Amino acid sequence: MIKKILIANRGEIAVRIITTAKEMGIKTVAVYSDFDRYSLYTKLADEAYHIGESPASKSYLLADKIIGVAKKSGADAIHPGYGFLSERGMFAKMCLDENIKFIGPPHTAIENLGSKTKAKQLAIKHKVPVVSGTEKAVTDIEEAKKIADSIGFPVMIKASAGGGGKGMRVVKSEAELESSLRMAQNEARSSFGDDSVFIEKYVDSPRHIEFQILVDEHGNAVHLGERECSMQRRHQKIIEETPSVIMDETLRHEMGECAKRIALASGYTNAGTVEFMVDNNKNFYFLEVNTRLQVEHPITEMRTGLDLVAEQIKIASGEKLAMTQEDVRFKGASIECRICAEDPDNNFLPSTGKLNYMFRVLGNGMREDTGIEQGNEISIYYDSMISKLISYGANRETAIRKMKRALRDYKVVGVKTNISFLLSLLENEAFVKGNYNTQYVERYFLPGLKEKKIQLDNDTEIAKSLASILFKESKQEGTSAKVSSAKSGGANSWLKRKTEAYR
Amino acid sequence: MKNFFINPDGTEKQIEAVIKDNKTALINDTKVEYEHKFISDNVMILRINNKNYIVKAENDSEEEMKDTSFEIDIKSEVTRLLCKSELDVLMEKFSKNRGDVKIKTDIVSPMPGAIVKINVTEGQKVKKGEVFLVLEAMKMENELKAASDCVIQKIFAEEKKSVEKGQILLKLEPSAAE
Repeated sequence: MIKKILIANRGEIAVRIITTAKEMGIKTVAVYSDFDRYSLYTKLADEAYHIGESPASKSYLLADKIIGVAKKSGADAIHPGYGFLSERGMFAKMCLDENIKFIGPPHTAIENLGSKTKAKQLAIKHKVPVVSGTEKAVTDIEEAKKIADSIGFPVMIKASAGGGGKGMRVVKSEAELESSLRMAQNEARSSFGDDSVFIEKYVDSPRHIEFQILVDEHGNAVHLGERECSMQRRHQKIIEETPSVIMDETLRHEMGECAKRIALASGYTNAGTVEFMVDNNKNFYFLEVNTRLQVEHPITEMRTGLDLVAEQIKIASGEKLAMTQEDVRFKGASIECRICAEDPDNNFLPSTGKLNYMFRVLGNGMREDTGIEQGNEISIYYDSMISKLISYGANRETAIRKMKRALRDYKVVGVKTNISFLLSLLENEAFVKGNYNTQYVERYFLPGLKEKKIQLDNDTEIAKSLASILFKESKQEGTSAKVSSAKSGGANSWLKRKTEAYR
Repeated sequence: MKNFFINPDGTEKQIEAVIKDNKTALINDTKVEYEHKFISDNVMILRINNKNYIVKAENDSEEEMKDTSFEIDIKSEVTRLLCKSELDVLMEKFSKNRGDVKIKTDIVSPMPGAIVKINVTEGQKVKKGEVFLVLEAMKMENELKAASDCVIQKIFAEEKKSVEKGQILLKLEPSAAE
């Protein structure tokens, strides 16, 4: 069994890992940048080591330095969390060479699945459905026509070096193909200096559904069901839930088996997530494997009753899975909302600053994963997530109800947050019915939000009006000299009385 | 007695409020009893006719709006309210008469980050909603857009350079075409 784990990460996920390790009687080692010197997770760990400056490239991405700390502190395992070094095959390899257990898949599996083309070929070989398309880059229009015809329109043209939507074009019919191909190639050339493109079947407004898997080092694999992650904005997940409203037993079994198959074929071990696109007719297509613990893993924990970090540690220690697929039980429904420091009214601009005050009451059925305390700062160096709120209930309605209540009673002072945005999403009819896909937020929800008129009921209007006056007055009390000299005695004595009332 | 005029942003509504003393107020002629306590600078417990509200407020970040514009958050529903005292209204009239209307011409960085791309050049006419520049912070690219039609007078920002919060990026002349 592993005795001491170094967590090569920060924030809420470091806290998450440390708590489970402690429960298992395992010692923990934190590493920190200048910025994180006294962050919550560093205080929670048994030991903490400084590894560099605040930018991740000068601290959390320094593989050598982190391995050095592991050796110095006598840690026999490293948990990479998510982001940073978690999906770098190189890092897993370095751990292996130093005889430190990497709590994650072997570097060979990370490399096999890291390249999208390699992963796709592996999927095809093991009869996992993929979006049909070219396997080689295309430059010639005649060839493109032939391929598009065989796949059937609409098709998508994608720059092979692409990313972030650049060099991507949806083509609805053959008539548009030639000009679209030319434009996509131009974009690809100017953005990436490489004009080779792929053609594949275009799946319109798909859902993003992913499967959690666990694979031990003895060839046993289970899936822990799906997570519906279609509520996205600019490819960033906003709300995740399980189960997905479109899921039925047959589809879950089929997709789960595919997820296990591709993992085993790639030599995968430990916890992982297999992502799929699902179209309107419940056809599913393999997208990619995330070779790490996901941000949204808690909803799976709520619905299966398992501790995924504990499972990861046990697998890394060489233990066999304690369960078979038949033992995995799903119960209830769970939702996760990511509370972020950003301003929904201002194009979701990240909002930096000090969290002067936090007020929240979790209550029954709610869980919060966070690495932040009152008084902490949200910096530009790392992501803008303040907290993950996770609700659990016997069914979806209950989980939604609990989440809405908790969000309404969550106050953060000092930075702007997306809490009101999350609430309006949860109250939206499409979400309530579960009728949404990856395009929903940007294409339908956000445009509608701008047109929404402010409607206040009478009581709220009175409360908000009175509140604005009281805040205004309290602000001016500090600088009241100038106000009271400009005003007659009336205001002055009113202020005095008001102050006296709170002695 | 103190009079206030409140306007929920984005509406034509004008709410009149009279604070009678530290426990009674008249809001649009509805008499209410209230008590309140600040639990931090920006959060208070407010009881109106024994009904509980936990209220959060954020000031407007702009200097000249600081004392009149508040974002009021009750149950995580945020409304921007313009709250003016009698004095504010008087001062406003006074400065309007002098033709002293201030127009925002300095575009400053809303947060520390790095300039990814500058889309405008000096002397260029820019329409409302057009993107001035792209600022990267916290792993996200953010677009800074024109709030109204304008002309770029001077550009201080440079591509690939990092900027501090509040650092001036662009100077505008308000568009004559308005």
